[in-house]
Amino acid sequence: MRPVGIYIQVPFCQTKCTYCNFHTGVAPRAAYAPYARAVEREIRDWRAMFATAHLESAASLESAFVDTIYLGGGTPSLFDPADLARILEAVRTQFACADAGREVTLEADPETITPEKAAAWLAAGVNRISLGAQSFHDAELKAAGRLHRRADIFSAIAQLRSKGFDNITLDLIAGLPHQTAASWQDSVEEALRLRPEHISIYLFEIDEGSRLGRELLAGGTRYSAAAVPTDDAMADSYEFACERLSRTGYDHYEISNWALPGFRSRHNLKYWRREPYLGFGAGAHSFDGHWRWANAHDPAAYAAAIEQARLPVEQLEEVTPKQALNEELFLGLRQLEGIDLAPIEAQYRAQINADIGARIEELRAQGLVERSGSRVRLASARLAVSNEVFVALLD
Amino acid sequence: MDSRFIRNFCIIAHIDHGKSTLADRLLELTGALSQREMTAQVLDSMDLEKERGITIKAKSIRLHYRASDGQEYQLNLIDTPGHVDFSYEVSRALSACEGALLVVDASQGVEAQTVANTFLAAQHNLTIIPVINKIDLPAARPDEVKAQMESVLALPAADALAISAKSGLGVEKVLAAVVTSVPPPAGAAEAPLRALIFDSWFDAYRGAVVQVRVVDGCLRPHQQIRLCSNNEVYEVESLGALTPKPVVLEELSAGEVGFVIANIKRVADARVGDTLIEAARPAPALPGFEAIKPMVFAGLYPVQAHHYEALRDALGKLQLNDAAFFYEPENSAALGFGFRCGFLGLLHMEIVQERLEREFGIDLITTAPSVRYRITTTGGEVLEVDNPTKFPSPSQIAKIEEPVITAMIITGDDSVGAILQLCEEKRGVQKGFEYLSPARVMLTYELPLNEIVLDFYDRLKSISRGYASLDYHLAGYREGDLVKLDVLVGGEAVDALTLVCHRELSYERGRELVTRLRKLIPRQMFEDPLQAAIGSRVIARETISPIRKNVLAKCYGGDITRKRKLLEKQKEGKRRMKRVGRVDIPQEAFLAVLKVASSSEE
Ligand SMILES: Nc1nc2c(ncn2[C@@H]2O[C@H](COP(=O)(O)OP(=O)(O)OP(=O)(O)O)[C@@H](O)[C@H]2O)c(=O)[nH]1
Ligand code: SF4
Ligand SMILES: [Mg+2]
Repeated sequence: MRPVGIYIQVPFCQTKCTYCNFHTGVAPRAAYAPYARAVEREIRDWRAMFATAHLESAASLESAFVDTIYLGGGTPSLFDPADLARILEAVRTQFACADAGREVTLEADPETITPEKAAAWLAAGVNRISLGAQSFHDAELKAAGRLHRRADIFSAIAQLRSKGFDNITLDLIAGLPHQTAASWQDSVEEALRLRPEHISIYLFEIDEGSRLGRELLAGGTRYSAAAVPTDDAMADSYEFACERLSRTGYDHYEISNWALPGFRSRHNLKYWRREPYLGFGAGAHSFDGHWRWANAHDPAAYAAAIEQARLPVEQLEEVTPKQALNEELFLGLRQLEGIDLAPIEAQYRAQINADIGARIEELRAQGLVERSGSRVRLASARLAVSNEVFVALLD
Repeated sequence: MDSRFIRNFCIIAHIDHGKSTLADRLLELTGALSQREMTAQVLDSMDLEKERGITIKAKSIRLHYRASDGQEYQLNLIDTPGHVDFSYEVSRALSACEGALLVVDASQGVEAQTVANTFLAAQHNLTIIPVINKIDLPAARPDEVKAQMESVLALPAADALAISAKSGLGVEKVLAAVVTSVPPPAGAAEAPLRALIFDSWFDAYRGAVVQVRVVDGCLRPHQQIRLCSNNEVYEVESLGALTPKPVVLEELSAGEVGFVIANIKRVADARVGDTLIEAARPAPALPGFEAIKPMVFAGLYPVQAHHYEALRDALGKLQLNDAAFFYEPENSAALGFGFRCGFLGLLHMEIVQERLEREFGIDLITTAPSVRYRITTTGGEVLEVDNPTKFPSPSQIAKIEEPVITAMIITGDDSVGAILQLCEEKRGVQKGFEYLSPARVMLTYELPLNEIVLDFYDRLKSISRGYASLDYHLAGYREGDLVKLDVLVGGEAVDALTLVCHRELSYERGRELVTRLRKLIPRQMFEDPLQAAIGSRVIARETISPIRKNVLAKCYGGDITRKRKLLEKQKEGKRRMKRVGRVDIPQEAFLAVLKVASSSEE
């Protein structure tokens, strides 16, 4: 039996962050429960709907067992815990679940957490919380359109800990508008003081279609476009964090992820390792090892499809061998342990470019990668320009 | 056809004054095209003409018109382009006609190409029929325009026709005037054949098609004909006229205009300006045309080296239909193998480039445009050099001469001051300053062509808020204190960025150039200097900074496809750059040289 990860998408947020153009929206609370019902139904009807889709490779997932579940968004912590519990229950009844080492993550925004919710999440089987802290500076949080403040992060963690959560991951963003070197260093130090089991640090990325993105293109002051740190400042911040976290016992195992021993995110690793995952909910993505597909992004269109027992899939793409090879390289290399070229070369003999060795050598000469035998990995000092490596290896 | 009932005329005007729109109406009135077949500026059939709303190539169309006296006339109309780059097309069209409709926009009045084209028509002894167009516009001032026609063009304009080509108002009177005022063609149908080739194009199925004006004699299918230039004999396969649909005819006789297909394989053999005669009955050649000389030169290089062959084929195909365009292989240390190309002007260059990219799918890098310099070496040898990298070393140069043009600028008097200043800055020498009316001025300047190539026209338009018009022609060569300015990327001279400029302007140009390049060249893996130098002396320097951040952000819910596409897009962007040493230079950077002179205004 193959293991499979389950991803549940909750496409609602309380407000829209200025930099975000991800398919999430602000919806009235009354929309939450019906949406949760639709997801529940999608999970329950999954096999039947797929039987009509002739997606043979997905059939192998029917007998797979679930070892990770990830409730992401959006802001799933906005939902009534009872709705989340029903969704998780649906997964458990539809799939065989691994008991030992099972990882069930819920993304939560600090201001949405209460002791009652925390207790209910635990009871529903959630055992890992991904806390969207982003920054410990109110000015930065405010400018980015986030609703929580520094104090909310502390109280959220305290509540989660007191209810017994022993696996918490904290998100930080390097390069938020108004961030300075000092404020960033302070955020990192605060995060470290809280000693979460896992930390993710992303470099601020502004979607061109977001409010801030449009302001950057068109000029304006409402969303602090002028206060976005430079690329150099962002790179400095990231490098500071790498340095600081590794000295405090965190294992840097993926470009954006650090874990205390034993706490790597099993679910996210599936993405980098090209292991299968099934997504449920509007805009959720799935991969069965051969095909990638995504549900309709629009919650209404999604709900309508479910209502009519139609597969809600909106994009479906067969990953060609060439694309698969590209993915092996750019996803695999995201992990700091790197990749072993030997099995990749054996598997993709027909696709791999004869000059791959020369390209890697050039990247090595530029100080971008390290190589020992058939193992290749990103040079730890140049992680912030990792796309240069991926692009060079892409075919 | 009895030549008494033939009228050959062209439509000439300043750019955008409505020639093609008037042609539309004439086609409609004579029933050449049905309402359903009609589109705006229907003769502008190339995609580029449609998109840009300008005529690039002259088109000759035969119309049948029944005049008020009941007589049917054969009218051969030629719509000409207005843009100065294509003025040679006007001269050719004039040689096939006895009359010209001179169209003037009623709101804009007489402009530079109006003057230039009227002058050409008069040189060809054509009957000129003045037409004032766009009288439907609120800003139309027909009386003022009449006065300008009389004073500036010396044309009797009291009876000038006032029309709106757009609405059709007054257009019948135009046809009537063509019949009554334009003389029928002279020439004898019995005399030995002489036909002037005034256009030719390549048809994939039929080879070269030539457009002729029969001056004397008669052309028929199966006739043995001879080209005066190469003395080769061909057999006429078919004859016809465009109406605008091609119609096959049994004969083209003295005075008529039409096309001939005669197993001429290459367009190069059917040179415009050549004379067709009967193989058996020799006759003297007609005066041809002055060879068209390219004015502006630039290197065209494929972004991807393996597109070289494809580029060569594409250039060959383009040249079949564009005799004004010239190319020869060259190579550049920075860009590899490519072609040196000659163009009539920047618009022409832009059009060729666009057609190559669009019709043939080849990504191109265009190097800085240059003119053809005349260099006298210390050894007394005279060289013509159109590529700055081919300049001899300064110690071997005794004298550099550059091509100069005579420019005619017509403008409102409120922008005269700014234009004089611009001409000064561009090293112009004033040759004339004349008030056409109390509010309009005609300036004549001698200017280095080099300066026009850069951005003269854009700046002229911008300082006059679009009102100034420009016409120019080559006037000769003038000695200049010129220097070669090199650009070094990472210490390596990039030949494709080399340009020639006046010594006094070289510091400023060099500084602007490297500043602009720094903005256009993305950050690189390593820090590298960007320098401008004259000889071995560096006059400006910037630094390309190393890239610090290029990383994928959060992967929302396993959306790998999106990440992959993002990387693919970056890869594609890189592919479109040219690597020099260890620096990736984007295509636009090579044209940055062009924009240098205007960058100070941004
Ligand atoms: N209002 C008005 N607009 C006109 C009239 N005639 C032409 N135009 C407009 O003027 C513009 C230029 O017309 P064209 O017929 O393309 O001009 P052209 O002289 O052939 O231009 P080139 O071939 O580029 O030199 C178009 O937008 C026409 O619609 C007219 O009588 N009235
Ligand atoms: S960044 Fe996250 S929380 Fe903010 S609007 Fe986007 S999905 Fe919602
Ligand atoms: Mg036209």
